[in-house]
Amino acid sequence: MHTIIAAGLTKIYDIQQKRSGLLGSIQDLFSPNYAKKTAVKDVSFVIDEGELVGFIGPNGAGKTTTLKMLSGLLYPSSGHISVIGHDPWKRDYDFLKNISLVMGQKNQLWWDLPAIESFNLVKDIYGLSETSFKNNLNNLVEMLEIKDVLNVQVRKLSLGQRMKAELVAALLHNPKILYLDEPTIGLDVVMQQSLRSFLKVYNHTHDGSIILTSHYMEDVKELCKRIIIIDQGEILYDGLLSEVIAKFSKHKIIEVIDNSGKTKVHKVLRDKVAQTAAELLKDSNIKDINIKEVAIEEVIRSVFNRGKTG
Amino acid sequence: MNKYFSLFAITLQEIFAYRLNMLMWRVRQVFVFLVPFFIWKSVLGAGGMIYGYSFAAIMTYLFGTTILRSLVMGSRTIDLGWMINTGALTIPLMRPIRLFIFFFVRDLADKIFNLGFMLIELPLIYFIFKPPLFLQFDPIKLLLTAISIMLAILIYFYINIIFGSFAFWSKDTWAPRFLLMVIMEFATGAMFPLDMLPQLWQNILYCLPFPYLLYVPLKLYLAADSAPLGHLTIAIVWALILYAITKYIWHKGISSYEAEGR
Repeated sequence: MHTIIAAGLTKIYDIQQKRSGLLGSIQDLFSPNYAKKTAVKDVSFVIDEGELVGFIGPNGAGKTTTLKMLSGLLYPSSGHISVIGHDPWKRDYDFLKNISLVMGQKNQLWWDLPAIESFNLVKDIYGLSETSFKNNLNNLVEMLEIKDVLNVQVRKLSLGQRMKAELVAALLHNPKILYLDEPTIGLDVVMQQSLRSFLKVYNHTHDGSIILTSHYMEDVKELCKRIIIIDQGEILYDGLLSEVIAKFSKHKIIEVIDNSGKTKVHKVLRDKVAQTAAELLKDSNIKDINIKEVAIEEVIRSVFNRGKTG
Repeated sequence: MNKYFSLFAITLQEIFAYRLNMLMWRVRQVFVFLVPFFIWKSVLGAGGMIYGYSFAAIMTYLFGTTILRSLVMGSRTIDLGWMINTGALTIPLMRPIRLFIFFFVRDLADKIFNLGFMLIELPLIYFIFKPPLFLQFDPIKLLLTAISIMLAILIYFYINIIFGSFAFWSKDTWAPRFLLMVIMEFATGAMFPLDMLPQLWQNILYCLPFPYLLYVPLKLYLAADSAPLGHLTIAIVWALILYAITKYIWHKGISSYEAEGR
């Protein structure tokens, strides 16, 4: 079942163009200059129940704008969205009770109070029963290992602890849709891994759909089977992560190990791999060869670069 | 309703989280009384009358506006502009709550906090400065006063939402807010009773929403309003007009909200 349907989504912003210098600033006072900027252009996709989809793209690609439209924060300039049968923009209670948005760079917990106070508020705002609240809270707190910091003022938590507490607050009401915007940004490697592991388990044990945007390919590689690559507001790829390499990389890597143990790397066109490997093996100085795919990070980087130049 | 009560409670907890800030805010409230007190003392302290007010009458007026100010003008909605500019508005927007009630409940928490502290501060001010007190016992007058205070709270709430909403279109919300503060100090009657002004000015001010925030409720309490029902009617009309403007501006603004910084 499709839980999210986006059809022909477009968002155009009016952006003020500041003139340079003092005279320019004075001119701006009387006749501000506005330019149209298309942040998202004719984006369409569907997401099914239980899917965890990675939304990847460079800065300013349109990921967050799309996420904001899907969560009802931004009104699309054109196009149609349906999330669990609702128009997000109307922000019906039934819609709001079933979604959650976590933004890695900002905090939705009450900054000056201990996290447990925010959790108690979530309980009342979503009308959770005492039992389901306690069960969910205990589960999440245990999985994320933050029992010890529940009574500490949020502002005094480390970034990682805060992010974990954010996730608890976002998941207490069992949302059917979870939007995660850069959840691991700024975290150290250990904490990133800990959040990834949590999200993996959470996704396997819950039916809800998750959309994840991230700059870290590790997040995407570990969590998402399907990815949507977006650049300059347009979708460049929507499909399985495992097929990205085959689609975008014309090359494979041949690693050649000689008798002295030295390794040499050759980047070879896909249809020339067999022939090149055979030729290399003729050399008696060669001990072994490995044929590998190009690293996904490199493939995606090249996709974005193509977008820029093309 | 439970959710709004929890919001009310957490807002109070938030205020209590910073003891020094809370204390300084209270000190400020005392100064709000002391500044006009010393001005009027230097003008009328030696005796005599000005525009029909003796020092004692002015003190009663000031004492009254100090109480009303805490009740009517205690507000958290003044954060709205900041919330729009920083994207913090996103959080309540994504929750199943009514936004206006969210802001109103936070305002009420602020008012209750102010009122609670006033119960400690006012006796102190009273015993130090001994302003003549006027206690109103007429139930009709008390009812009219209560209605006018409720209308004042609503009018101030809508004014704050309207001014805060400017942030949907402009990042410069401080200048309009400062202008509003200056106008309000004068036009609500916070600094001096408005009937000290020439009749023409009074007539103009009565057409604006500001006198209905402090001056009219206080005059109703003191039974010194020459046209209580007329003024209550104008206050109701202003509350309705401002409600309509608030709805309109909010609807327009939220369509252009970009949830920046997020």
